[in-house]
Amino acid sequence: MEAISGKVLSEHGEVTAVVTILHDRTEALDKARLYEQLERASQELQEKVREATAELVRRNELLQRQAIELEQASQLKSQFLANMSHEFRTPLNAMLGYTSMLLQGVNGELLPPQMKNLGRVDSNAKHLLNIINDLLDISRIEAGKMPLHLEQFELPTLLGELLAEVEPLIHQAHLSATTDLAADLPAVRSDRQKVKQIVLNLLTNAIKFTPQGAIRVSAGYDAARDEISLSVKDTGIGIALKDQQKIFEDFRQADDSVTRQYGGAGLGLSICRRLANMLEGRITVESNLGTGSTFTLRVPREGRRS
Amino acid sequence: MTQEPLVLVVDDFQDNREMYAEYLAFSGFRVIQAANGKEALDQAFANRPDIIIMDLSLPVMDGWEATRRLKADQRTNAIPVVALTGHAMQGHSKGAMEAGCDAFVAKPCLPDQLVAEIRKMLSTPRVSAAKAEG
Repeated sequence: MEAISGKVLSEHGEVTAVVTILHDRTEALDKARLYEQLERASQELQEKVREATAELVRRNELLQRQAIELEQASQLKSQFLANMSHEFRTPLNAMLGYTSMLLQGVNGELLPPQMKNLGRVDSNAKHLLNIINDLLDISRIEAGKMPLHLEQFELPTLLGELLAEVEPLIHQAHLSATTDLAADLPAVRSDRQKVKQIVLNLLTNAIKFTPQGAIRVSAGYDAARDEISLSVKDTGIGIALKDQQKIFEDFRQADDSVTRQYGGAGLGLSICRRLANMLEGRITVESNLGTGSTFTLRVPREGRRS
Repeated sequence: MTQEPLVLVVDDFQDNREMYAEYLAFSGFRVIQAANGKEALDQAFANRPDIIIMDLSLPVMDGWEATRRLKADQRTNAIPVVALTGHAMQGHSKGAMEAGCDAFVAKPCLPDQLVAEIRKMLSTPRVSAAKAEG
């Protein structure tokens, strides 16, 4: 309540009356209080928004820092793999070289059992080299240092070379191999060496996982999609449906238990998948446990990327 | 009778260097050795080999620098240099070619493969540098 008072004076200066005006300010005070509350709430809200924004900025910075750190870690890993691969190669070069020299009789003729055992040293050193090369391939692809060389080539010649290369393995494993070439196979423009590497890997896998039976390699052309396909079909142990994606991941095999029967670093198909991507193509698998698998590589007849 | 070709093998890793040297001698070549780029230059200027096998990662003076100096010197610029390295990253072969190497061979390289490469290099008349690839 607000009161304003005033005196009413006569001509002679005598007080004749006092006038008091009483003013009810309840409403105004309520409004002021409400306004104050609103002001406070608004300030609190602003403060919260400021805090939340600061938190977001902090998190963003953290995420960015983590992304950079991850990128650096990945690069370090690739660099490490590349360095290690070099460190492995230097002694392996001497092991393979001296073994080869001994086998060639540079230091005198060897007795048959010596030849046989040295042959084992040789094949194991080569096996080790293959694993190292696979690791290097992965690190090269990840570091974007795997160049692409597109060139024109014929599939029948390529398959001929591939089969000649795996012939000793097929013979050793008591398997048989056949090829099936479509009649309308066009010339292909792609990275020949990479196509060869992929199919060679599929072939050696097929041989490795086929205890008996046959390997069939086919080449076809899909005119509608303008794609060529190369398939490797085996009569081997097959892959369960649940494992069919897993096998294309790094360091994975369908059976990656410690008691697994088949060796290997589990890098082959992962490299194949990455190489196929580079060629704008893909690899698919069809398989049933116990009856065998068919792996198919499809790549554009005319590669564009380079 | 003409003398057998003289090969200079440059590698800091003794086992690999002596392995190639032994096999080259076995295959009928004359061989001299160097364990770093500096020694390679001394050997090359003093003995004028017919071909040089050059490892790239070397102490004292690396193989790229040694090759650049050999190719910049008229006494040695006609000698073919075969780069030999365990570094299989793409940049290495490119760098080797830019330094003036005439061919690039990746380790592991079996002694007989190296001899085959050397015979090929010695039998082809040199038209231009930088053609082989790693």
